[in-house]
Amino acid sequence: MSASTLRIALVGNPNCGKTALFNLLTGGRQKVANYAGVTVERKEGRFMAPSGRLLQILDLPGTYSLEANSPDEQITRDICAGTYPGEAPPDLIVCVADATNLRLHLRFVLEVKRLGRPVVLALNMMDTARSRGIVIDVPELSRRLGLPVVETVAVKRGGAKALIGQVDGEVPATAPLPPDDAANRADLHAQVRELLAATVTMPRATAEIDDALDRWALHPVFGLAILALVMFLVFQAVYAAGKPMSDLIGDGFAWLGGHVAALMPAGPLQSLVLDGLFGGLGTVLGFLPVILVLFFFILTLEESGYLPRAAFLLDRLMLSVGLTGRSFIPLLSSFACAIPGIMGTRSIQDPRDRLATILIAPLMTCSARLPVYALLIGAFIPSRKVFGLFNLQGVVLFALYLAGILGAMLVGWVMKHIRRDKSEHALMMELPSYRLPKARDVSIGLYERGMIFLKRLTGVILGLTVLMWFLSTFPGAPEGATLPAIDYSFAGYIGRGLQYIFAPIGFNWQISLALIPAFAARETAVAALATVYLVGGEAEGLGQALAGQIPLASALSLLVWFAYAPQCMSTLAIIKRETDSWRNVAISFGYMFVLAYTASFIVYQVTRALT
Amino acid sequence: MSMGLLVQYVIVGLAVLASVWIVLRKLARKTTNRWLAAASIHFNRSGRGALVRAFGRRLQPTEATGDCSDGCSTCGACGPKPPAAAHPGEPMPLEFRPRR
Repeated sequence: MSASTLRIALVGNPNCGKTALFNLLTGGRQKVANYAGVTVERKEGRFMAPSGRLLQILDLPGTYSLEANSPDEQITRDICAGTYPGEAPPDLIVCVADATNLRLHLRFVLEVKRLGRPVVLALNMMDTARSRGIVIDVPELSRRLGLPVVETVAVKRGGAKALIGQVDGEVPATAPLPPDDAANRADLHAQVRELLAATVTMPRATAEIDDALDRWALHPVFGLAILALVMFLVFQAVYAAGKPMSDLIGDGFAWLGGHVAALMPAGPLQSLVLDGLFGGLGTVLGFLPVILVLFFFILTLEESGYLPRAAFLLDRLMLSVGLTGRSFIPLLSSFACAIPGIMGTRSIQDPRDRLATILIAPLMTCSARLPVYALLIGAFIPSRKVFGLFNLQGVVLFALYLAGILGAMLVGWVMKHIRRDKSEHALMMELPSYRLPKARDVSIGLYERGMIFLKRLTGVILGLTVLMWFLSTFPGAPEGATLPAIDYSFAGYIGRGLQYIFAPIGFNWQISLALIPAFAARETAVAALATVYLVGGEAEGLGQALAGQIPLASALSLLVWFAYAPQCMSTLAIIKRETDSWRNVAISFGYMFVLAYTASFIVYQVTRALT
Repeated sequence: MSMGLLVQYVIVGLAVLASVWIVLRKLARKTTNRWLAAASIHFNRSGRGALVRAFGRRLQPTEATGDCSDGCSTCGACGPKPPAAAHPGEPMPLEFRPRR
């Protein structure tokens, strides 16, 4: 790195807009949301200032104090203090503060100032502050703090102009340090009050609209009812809006596959293209709209500021099963994928609560399971109205997500009863202002999710599908064979071997076989089933083939299996990394296998007895 | 076997080999990185031709240094590790202790 490169660290309280500012400066697409704890580790980006100077930006996890408690806060503390391993201290610290909540944020600014490094204060969300009638005397605040102070609006193009102008010039001199005695340290709140009195005029401490909405959203009865309704409607919408688009893509692929096959001579290559690529991958790709619709709602809720309210509402319930409301956000992230959810537990201070959250996070239904759910629901659950209003398929999808949540609560409750430490930790969480979701942020989020899905599809899912096709095709049937060729293939032998384990829960050899690639990526189960059935001679769609070949009891058992099944390898790898313990990996894998097997066994046997 | 069928088998064989590599990269990142590094050193030795050395340099494995908190879902646990306990008394790593 050249000597003229300036290293700038963005620090501040959680949810003050550091990552939005980072994205604005560097052109990055790091995740932003309207709640605390989105960023849990150091991120780095660069941009060229108008003077031609290269600026290296570090986006650090938010923290309320430099006296760190949780692993994510430790990163910020250590980088700012220059004690982070292998990392030089930043040349300049940009302390980002929410201009609508300076009472809270200025305390951290004073703490950072004590580090004795050059600091610039960025008053972010100035547009919202102005709209709420908050007036800040910026020159006076700068004079009193002894720091350059600039205004920013991180969510608007050009909103960081003043900050760029400031950091592109001379690095500001270090502000004079106050004596570091106990009296001075304890006096931070008094200093903040003094600063606010001299420089800030606020008509109200909180926004009027927030108070009005919170009277309903945080009501102990109506609040929970609203939360349940919101979640229920999301899953209804996922089915109503996503399914027609999925069908369209599926039909398109079938049509395209037919035409491509007609152009190729019969042989192994035609089989690979038709049964593996169009049949296997095409079936998985068809579920992209369903995933995107689900993420549209998740991103919208994240942006709105409603999710921390949901965490607050569920705190009592979560305490009763040995968790805290702070676990809510990581668990919610796990609905996208367990990996960011487990990473997100870094914001949980208590190691016991953090471990409990890590172990149950994989029970939240990740988006990779959605294709499996959608396939089986489409094949076995009739599309009819319930109470003349709700789609039965959407109700079943909601029930599956609920099953994951109830399973997590059960496991949390068991862990609560077997651990020695019975103490409970109160939830302290900042409730952000409500915000109208920005179409640009939601669009970027959807684009990112779509690209992630396509990357998986053209990477590991494609690789596994080709291997599954190979196993299902070779070796061919021997002379005088009476059974279908696939029964003599590697896949046939492996599947029948696995069937000894899975027959009691109703899985035939094809389903048993599909569980292997699903361990690498869940969606691959769909591609594997499609390939195995197509190679086996099923010409119609996978849904129809499944409906014709496996009984309802097996289908329900498979749905329940995927609700609780041992997570994918990536999740196990991340558990190892975050806990540095193979034992936790073994516990996680073991309990989920037992839970999934037991639940599937009960569902299969009961359904078989009833039908 | 006709030439057309032979070509088909060759293409299918290459596709299967490529798939094995993709899956290995996903499931055994560290091992395949070691293989790539060894191959890179082998081809990039002094005395070899410029093209061979360039090929060797291309084989050099790169480690992801970014983060995965935004849920890339393609994790091979390649992101940075959480900070080790830098101060005494900080409870890292985590361990599950059942009641005795």
